[in-house]
Amino acid sequence: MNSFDIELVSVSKSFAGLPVIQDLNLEIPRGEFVSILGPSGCGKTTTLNMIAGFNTPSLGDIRIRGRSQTRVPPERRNLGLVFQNYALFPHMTVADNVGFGLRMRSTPKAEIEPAVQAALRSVRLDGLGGRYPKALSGGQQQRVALARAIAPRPTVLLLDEPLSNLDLKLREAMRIELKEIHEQLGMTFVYVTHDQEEAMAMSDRIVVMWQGAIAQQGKPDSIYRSPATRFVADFIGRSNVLSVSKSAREAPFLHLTLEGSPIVLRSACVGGAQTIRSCCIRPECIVLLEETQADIVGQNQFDGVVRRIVNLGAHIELLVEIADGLRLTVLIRSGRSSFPPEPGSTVTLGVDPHDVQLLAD
Amino acid sequence: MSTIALTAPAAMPPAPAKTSGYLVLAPSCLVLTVFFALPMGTTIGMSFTDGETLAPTLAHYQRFFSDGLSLAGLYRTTVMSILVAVCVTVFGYPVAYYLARSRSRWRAVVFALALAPELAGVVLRTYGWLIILEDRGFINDALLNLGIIASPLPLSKNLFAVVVGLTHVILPFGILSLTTSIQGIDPNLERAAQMLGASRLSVLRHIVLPLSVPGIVSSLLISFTMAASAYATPALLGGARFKVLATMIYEQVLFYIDWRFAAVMAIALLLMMLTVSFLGIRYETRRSNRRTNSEGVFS
Amino acid sequence: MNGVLSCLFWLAIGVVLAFITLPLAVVVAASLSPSSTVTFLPWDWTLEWFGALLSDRWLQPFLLSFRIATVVAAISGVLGILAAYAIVYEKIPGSALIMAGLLSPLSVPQIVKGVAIVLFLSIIGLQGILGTPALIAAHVVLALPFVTRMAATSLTNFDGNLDRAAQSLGATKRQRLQHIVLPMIKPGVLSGVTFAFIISFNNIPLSVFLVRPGDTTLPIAVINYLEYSLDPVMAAVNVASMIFILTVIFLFEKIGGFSTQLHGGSK
Repeated sequence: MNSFDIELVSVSKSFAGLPVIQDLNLEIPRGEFVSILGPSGCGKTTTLNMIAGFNTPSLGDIRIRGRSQTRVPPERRNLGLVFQNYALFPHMTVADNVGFGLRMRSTPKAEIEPAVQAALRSVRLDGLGGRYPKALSGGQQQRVALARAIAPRPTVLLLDEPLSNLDLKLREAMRIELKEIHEQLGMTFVYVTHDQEEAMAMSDRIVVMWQGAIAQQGKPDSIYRSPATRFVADFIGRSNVLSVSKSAREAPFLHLTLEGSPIVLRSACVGGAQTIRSCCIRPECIVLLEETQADIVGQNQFDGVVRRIVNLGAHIELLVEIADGLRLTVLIRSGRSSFPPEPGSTVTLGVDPHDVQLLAD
Repeated sequence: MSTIALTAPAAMPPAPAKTSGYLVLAPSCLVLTVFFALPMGTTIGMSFTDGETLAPTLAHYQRFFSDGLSLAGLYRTTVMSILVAVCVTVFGYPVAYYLARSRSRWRAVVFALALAPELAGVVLRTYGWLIILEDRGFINDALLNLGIIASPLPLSKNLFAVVVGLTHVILPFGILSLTTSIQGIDPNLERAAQMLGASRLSVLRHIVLPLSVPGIVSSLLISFTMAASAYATPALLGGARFKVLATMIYEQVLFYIDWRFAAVMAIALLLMMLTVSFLGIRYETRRSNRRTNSEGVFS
Repeated sequence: MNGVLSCLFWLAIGVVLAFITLPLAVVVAASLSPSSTVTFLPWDWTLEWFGALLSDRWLQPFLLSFRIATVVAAISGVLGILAAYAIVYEKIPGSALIMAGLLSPLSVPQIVKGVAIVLFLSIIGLQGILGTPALIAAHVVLALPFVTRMAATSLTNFDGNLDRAAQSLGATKRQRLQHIVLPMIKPGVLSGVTFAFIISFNNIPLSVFLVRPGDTTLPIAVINYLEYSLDPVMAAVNVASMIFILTVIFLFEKIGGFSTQLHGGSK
């Protein structure tokens, strides 16, 4: 028995001849909190539905704890699913909702009651079992949905954008709570979302999907620091994606000539690709220098003209034109900047070579 | 509003528009008064007055409730309408479920097949059933030729034929009302139940059926009232052997020329329908009351 | 278990659809069948029964039904628009009550409305108007609530900002009604009018009390004939009248569809 709770082996899915998922391979280790992250239409919901059993893959195999489940109906897969709109049964009380899964499994009545109470306690809703879902607030309904899904002790809990119907404050509180529940239960969570902040905040691992395939997977931190492709760089956080016309290795750096300009960037990152066509720099990795500083070894430095300033409160966003048509977004902390730049003024930018990431496409 | 009117009497609402509004309404009101309200009033009045002396009397009602023939008619109407309501709802439910949930291209075909016959008119469809169910009709012909039966089965001019014909006529309305109700059930509820281990049968029993009770009730009510007030189908498929209130009213007016008794029968039919509709409305208000009460727990 | 249930489900749908289509198929087959008893021989068919329709026996009732339905559609269309205009657009005081009054005939069975009208006319000594005038009046009573409701729904869905926009562009009330309001509610009104035509053309429960012997509408002629005979001419009459109704719907749909396209394009 291997240690993967869910395995997707060369899974493809097409609807009416249109491919939605192409040759997807994914392994989800036991106990992990894994987020499947991507924009709408990337295939993440289809992937979730295939794991849940509502869609059958056109090709490939889906295994849960090593057993093929491709032909098993949803009700026999022993998975939990939390819906975006909660899907609470409106004609049942909260307790009946939470106990539904146990009743369907013919659990003895004497065991259902304590299990329901325990599930409600773990989402901090004790005492609300007698109410109907309509009488609860959105946040409470969300917790009931969670309690209902975990009460029968599923192998894996699937969550389909469960926080997207909550307001911002509640959403942020629920992130922490979900993470705590995950740690408490030790259950595998598969969390589908389009919200990168949410994925960043909770996941052990993020699987970024795009156009029906996995664009990149890894720890939140490493995905943010070293995006592999233009899409990931763009989708996760903000970044300056720059096209590169020529590259040459001059140890320890890689020299990248920016397209349409004579500027050469030094990068300390090692890319696998043979020819490098683009790179990216996070806006917060660019610093404003008061004057050209020759003493920082290897640092990229170039002058630019400030075109626009956007005050974001804690930060100031500058749009700096470093060459014709080549603009960089720069994010600096507000108060610390002793020389608030004026639009039209010339500034010097500095970028550490370690912050110039190579992209695969 | 009133303060404005007091301080600025010039800002009056455009009175001519309102007058023209009533003027424009006049023809509709006139038509409905002369050809609906007055006739209905007359009918009610006639049912309570003596034919000779015009004195108020309950004699016609006493006669209705002591006359075996009219009570039998009332009974037949009720039984027939209940059977039709049940048949329409039971047969309509699977089709309605399919129409509410399917996203296949066959849905349009099923929709057209289920509802288009409504355009064909009642006579055509009743005529079709006559050909099929008659003593010398399609079914009996086939069974006689095959030697399965020696004499024709009594398929027409009875309760069975009328229920079949009316179910056919009313089915599209039942399907429409059930479809609307099932469409209102979030499909995620069914998927949620499945994820929690419920088989298809359990999903149907615990989720879909309980949540579509309002649709089932409205389908039963619509079918009952339509069946009770139908005329052509019982007249043709029931004939002289299976008389219901609607066909008996016609006989009273045109054969027996007993207007006052016809009026009593018409009012009996009307009351029967209003009672059923009232029960429906009461069910609906109770249901929404229950919902607001459970919301009240929260606030 | 799931397999059995889904088999039953598809079986039920199949049986119900067969039940729905069977009598229609039987009538069409009978209308084309050469023998006077109803048989199904797809390779052996005839149109001779349809020929019989051109006799006065069927042509007269058809023309009467057609005339009545046309007049009823026109009258209830105009009255329905006017009533909806007063209630929804002008929002005259007490409009909810008036609307309930206008829709009240819907809760009375047709057979009861029919008997009430014939009793009323007899009591006040107006039996003379039985026949075409009484039929038209009764059918208008039947159709008007439907048309009013459809026109009112269209007017309720009509975006008041369009009207205010036209007003701000200097359109007078008459101009607004003509160029903005009427075109926008036309599809709803047209389907109401189509519906009025069809329920008048097919009506039995009211007409059965109000026709004059020897001068009946088509459905009444058909049910009278059906009392004695089931011969294939009946099938032909029914099929022809169904084709006629479908044509009417198609034609109205064309007019309505055209304006719906305009409607969609302007959005």
